[in-house]
Amino acid sequence: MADNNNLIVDLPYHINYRHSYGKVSPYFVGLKNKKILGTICRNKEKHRSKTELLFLPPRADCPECMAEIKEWVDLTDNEFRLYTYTIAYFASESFLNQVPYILINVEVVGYDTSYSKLTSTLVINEQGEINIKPEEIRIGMKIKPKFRDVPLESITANSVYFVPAEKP
Amino acid sequence: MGNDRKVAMIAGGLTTFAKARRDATQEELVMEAARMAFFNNDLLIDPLDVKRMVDGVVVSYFSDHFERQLLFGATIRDYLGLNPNQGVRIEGGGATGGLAIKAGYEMVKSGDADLVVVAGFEKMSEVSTAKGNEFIALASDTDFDFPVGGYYTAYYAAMATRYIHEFGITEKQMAKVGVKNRNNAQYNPFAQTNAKNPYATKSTSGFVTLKDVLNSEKIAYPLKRLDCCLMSDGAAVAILAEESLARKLSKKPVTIRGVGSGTDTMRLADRPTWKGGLLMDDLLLPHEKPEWYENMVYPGFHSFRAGRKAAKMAYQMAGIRNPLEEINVVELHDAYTSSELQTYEDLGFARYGEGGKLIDSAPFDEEKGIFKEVNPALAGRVHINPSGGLIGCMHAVGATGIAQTVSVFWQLQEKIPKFYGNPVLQVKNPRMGLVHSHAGTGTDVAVIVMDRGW
Repeated sequence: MADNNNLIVDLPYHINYRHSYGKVSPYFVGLKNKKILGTICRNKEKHRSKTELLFLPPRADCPECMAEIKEWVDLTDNEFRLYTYTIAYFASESFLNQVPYILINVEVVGYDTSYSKLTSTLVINEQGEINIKPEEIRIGMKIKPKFRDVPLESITANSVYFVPAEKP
Repeated sequence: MGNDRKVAMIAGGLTTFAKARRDATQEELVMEAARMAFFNNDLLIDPLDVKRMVDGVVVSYFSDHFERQLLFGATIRDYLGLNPNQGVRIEGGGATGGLAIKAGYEMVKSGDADLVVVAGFEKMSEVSTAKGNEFIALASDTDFDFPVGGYYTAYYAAMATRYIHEFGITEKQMAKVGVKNRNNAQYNPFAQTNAKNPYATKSTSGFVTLKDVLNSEKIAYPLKRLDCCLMSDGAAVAILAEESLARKLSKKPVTIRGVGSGTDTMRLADRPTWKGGLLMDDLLLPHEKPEWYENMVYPGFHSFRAGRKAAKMAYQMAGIRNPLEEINVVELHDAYTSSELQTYEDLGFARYGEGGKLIDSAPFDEEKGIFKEVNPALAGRVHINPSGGLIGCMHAVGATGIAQTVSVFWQLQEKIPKFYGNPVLQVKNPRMGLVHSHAGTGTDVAVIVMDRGW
């Protein structure tokens, strides 16, 4: 495309990144095994909140006390609640073909979840699950994880999603 | 604070902003703004003599992805003829421009320079809007948030849902912000949505009503298209000088009284939700009472702790005790209508939870769905985003914080009629102005407080 004054050309640019998940790799391997794993730092006396801190998304190092965190907790069967949500009708290029979808943040019940409100998606019309209408979505409603079967070499945070665990 | 050098702004320039400025490269856009800064700001000596006195350059742009040119600061300094001066590139997401002004301030304040050009730009039109959204989304966590479908409008929307839940804010209150800012922009000829802007398209320009905002296309519940900021091409330039030099170069130098910045977690998901968190982080402003907030979860998903931190720093430096009583004109980062309301609270113009009440304080014609006055004074006192803000005027990311600073600078100089070609948006007799520049979901915020230096 060109006009008389401003010549416009196409300059494509493709990149593949060989990305490492580093010390939080067990989280992603966990998703492959249908598990949600978080890390926990139990140095509560060294935290400003004086609480044990759960990290979900996991962190390998605690931002409060700077300790290395070695302890993983399996949260798969824990109670989860909806902390907040939005219904996306538009998206970035990679997700345009999936709209509308429900983007959520998840609260893990029973922990100090100050650093732990995992971003995920909510599917409300899945076969064999409790189905609700978009206008029935409520902050605080119980939700539970489900897992997508993805080859390990292409696993991402999107390999887990949530469905309603109760009729609001 | 430190030495007694003071820093003043003596000139500002803008490009006309547009969805696409196909007629100019990035460096040509910066020159357009720089030419206005040097030649149209009533400098007291030959502008080229002023240019020869420049001894520091700050270049501000957000995204190497958008620009496809790394080390773009070198191109800009070269193109403006500012070699071999010291230079630095600043990047801080959406707050890039505000942080660049702060960096320019620091260069002068420290004595490393006496006269600094702060030049910012972004050209966002060379990729599709969806790809642009993706580039911006890559400024969120790319391991955990982006891969599940995260993008910025959705993050802000999730915040807005929680903000509504916590404080009972309404979509109508949010929409009123959209009406105010978009309609202000109709009197600002630099604004992308101004119907008279030669680059404007009919479907994305002109006045709007409450109904227009509420009925506009859904983007991410509860945000609609007219709740959202623009994506723009354009540039902005500010010239800062040591105060005694500034007085020799300008009849009306505007003194920078306070600067501040604050930060928060990269992931919105990781925002602390501790009860009394505001007091834990020592973020109470002088006019606030601890008992207001001792039981409030903070920052949670409803507030921008970085904005409060930046404001508190800037207010302390400027000696501001009660912002609503002391500040007359504000340009704040209205990425979304919800975040403008949230920011009223972070800046201390309203109590936490009462941002909606502040927008409701301006007389509104319910029948017509517009404010009774253009550029209404909130609480009868403060004018917020007279330029039209990011919703009405522009968001060419690296230029934004600088363009906001230029707007407040012209307001304090009472030169809005000269630069806008009409007096509608000129705030009467303004003494003190504030600029708020914001990144991510509040990962970085810069605040600048300025007043008349003459």
